[in-house]
Amino acid sequence: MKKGICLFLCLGLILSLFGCARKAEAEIYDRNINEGASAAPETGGGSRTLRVAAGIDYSLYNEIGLTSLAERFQTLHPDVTVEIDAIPAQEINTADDFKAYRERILLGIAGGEGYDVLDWTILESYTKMADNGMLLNLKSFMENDPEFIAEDYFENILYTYAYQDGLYAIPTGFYTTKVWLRTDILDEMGVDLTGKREISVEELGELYTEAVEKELVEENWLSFSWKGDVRSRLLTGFFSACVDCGNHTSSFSAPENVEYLDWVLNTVPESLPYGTIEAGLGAENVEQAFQQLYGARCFASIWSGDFYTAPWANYKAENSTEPMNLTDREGRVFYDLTDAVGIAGNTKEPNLAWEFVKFCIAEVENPSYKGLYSEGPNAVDVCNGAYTVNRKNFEKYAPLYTRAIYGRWHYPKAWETRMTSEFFQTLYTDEINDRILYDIESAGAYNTMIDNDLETLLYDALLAYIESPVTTVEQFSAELDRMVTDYYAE
Amino acid sequence: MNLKKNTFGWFLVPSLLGMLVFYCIPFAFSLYYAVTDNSVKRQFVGLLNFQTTLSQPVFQRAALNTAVFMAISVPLGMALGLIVAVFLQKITHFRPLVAILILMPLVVPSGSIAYFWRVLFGTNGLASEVLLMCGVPLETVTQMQTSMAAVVVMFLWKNVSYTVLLFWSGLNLIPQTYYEQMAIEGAGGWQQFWRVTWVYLMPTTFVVLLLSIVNSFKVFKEIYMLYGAYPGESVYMLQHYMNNQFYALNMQKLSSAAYILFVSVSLLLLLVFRVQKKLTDAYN
Repeated sequence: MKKGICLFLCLGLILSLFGCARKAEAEIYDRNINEGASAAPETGGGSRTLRVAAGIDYSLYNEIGLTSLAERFQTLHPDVTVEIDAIPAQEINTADDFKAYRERILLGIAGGEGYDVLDWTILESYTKMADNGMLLNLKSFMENDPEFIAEDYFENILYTYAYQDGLYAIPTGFYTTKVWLRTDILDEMGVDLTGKREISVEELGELYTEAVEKELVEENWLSFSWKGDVRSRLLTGFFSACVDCGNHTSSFSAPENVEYLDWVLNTVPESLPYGTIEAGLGAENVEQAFQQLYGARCFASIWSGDFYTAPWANYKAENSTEPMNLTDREGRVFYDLTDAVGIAGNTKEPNLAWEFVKFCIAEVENPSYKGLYSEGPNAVDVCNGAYTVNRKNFEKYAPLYTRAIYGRWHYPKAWETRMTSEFFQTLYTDEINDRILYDIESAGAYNTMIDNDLETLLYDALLAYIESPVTTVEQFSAELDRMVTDYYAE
Repeated sequence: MNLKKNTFGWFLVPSLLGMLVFYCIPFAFSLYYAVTDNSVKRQFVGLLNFQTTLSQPVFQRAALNTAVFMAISVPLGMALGLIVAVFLQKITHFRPLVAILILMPLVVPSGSIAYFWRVLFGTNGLASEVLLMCGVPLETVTQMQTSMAAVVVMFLWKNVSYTVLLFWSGLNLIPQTYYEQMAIEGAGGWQQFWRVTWVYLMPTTFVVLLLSIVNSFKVFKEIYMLYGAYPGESVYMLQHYMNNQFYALNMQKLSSAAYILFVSVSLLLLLVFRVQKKLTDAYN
């Protein structure tokens, strides 16, 4: 009896200790929500620590990444230490490895782990995180900070992570999807796409169907693509269009959506896997890939217009069209992100975290960028191109949107090889300014659903449907609506 | 004597400590989550989370499905287990081989069972093809794939071996002299079963009932492997609801649902114990 009482008292003591700790966090949360960024910086003196929860750390392979950003931030703020919690790239072998790491970070945040800034790889389910108070609404910081001018940024990219009247993360880099078509095949079809900057999914499908009917190409029209095939991109765009994450509704069963889904699945085949070719690792590999493309007489090639592969945005091989942007059925250009940052809900340094976020998205003085573009025989200065006079503070966001050039997917040695490669030198032209600006202003269809967990669920259901001979597209669409309803009803 | 008794107690300390750290404290702490608003702010909201959870249609559906599944699978599993155990006791030839075949599903991993079930009853499965060939409408076939019946069949196939094992053990403990005496007095097989087997199997039956109720909650992993986190409406269980809340980082709803389930199952088990006590007293 006495022992039982002692045990009970110990339990009570432990629970009460947890309760006291949480009260302090509740006060921090209230302050973060109500005050946002204030004009005066936080005082207190002494050193401060900023904890960043990131995804994959490429710093071992790339001196220009989140780690180097943190070092430069510390140089500007000597009293601040930036600690980055990331998993080394060499420890990521499968998607499950990263998923396990991400879950650990999220559980830590849910359990009160003291992160201040969250990297985009942690933000894949940012709508749920926002609902659970794990992310701060950045609009309050933007509105209270006179130094931040939202008009300096492209609105379509800046508000990618908008959710229910709030903004919960800001992208730090993006890219669009490029399409090249075989002009020799188009000539045989009597089609001229000269000067065309965009091509919709439907147009691409119609051209392909015609080419197959005329036996001009085989039924594997996409030779390779970066980060997945066109069908998966189309389906992601389709999911994004059908799911209203803000209002927690979906419209998969609408007749036009059922028809579109049926068309995508029956007309757009899966592309062949691109094997071991990795974008940006060497000019010769990609050049050979293009040669293989034409040797196999494939109809089209899809490539990410990453600005680190910005030359490819202008690449025109023999017998290929100019690169075109891929659009959805509503004419919006598909785009994807390279990085984004948000502020954790329980941060103890909200203003400092906001300063770091601003720093990440406005890296004007980036020496690496300047070095890449101002040196060498074919240097291109994007900041002083023909369009800078037409856009205020272009130099502020040009690095923002071209930072992927030296982003974390790069290897310094490969980049150096590229810069000295004759093949690549021919690709850097003045037209790159025009291409970059056009891509930025055109980007309208975010290629990933804002709720990555829901997107994964829908994709899994889609795979089951594709394998099934016994479910109609109408039944499947109704099933998708039910899944979305249950997902948001929980 | 007292020294031995006290020493014995000390050997239990590591296990009790582990149980305290990994079960009792987290169990108590989840109550804290259940009475706060979110994982960051953690303000006390009383029973609001319980109220919200109970009023959610999706939770109500999950609870109903779980109750229906339990109401069907537990008595059916026990009846099947008893019938097979009696059959196993009656056969004389090849009993060990038959026993092995009956108990085989028990040792097959759940993942393998789910894969086998997908091949058989999945959306592209053999059973679906056969049904379509027999003229069953497509819509009916699709509905059957994610119906409660398919899940019950899968669960019974996997778990009835366990009840067979328990009943068989109980049957072997009944002295044969009782049956011989009943036979001498002219009692038929059915009378022997009700007067001897059923009475002396009562304690075993209650153990089987308790374990079957607990095991019925373990069907989640097979359903999850077959149909994912959001299966058909009729097989969306409480465990799906809690699992999804975990991945959505909503510890408040997860904890409140877990406590609701804990209270419900506790009440059910208390009822079973009371019924057992009354029946035992009646037979005595």
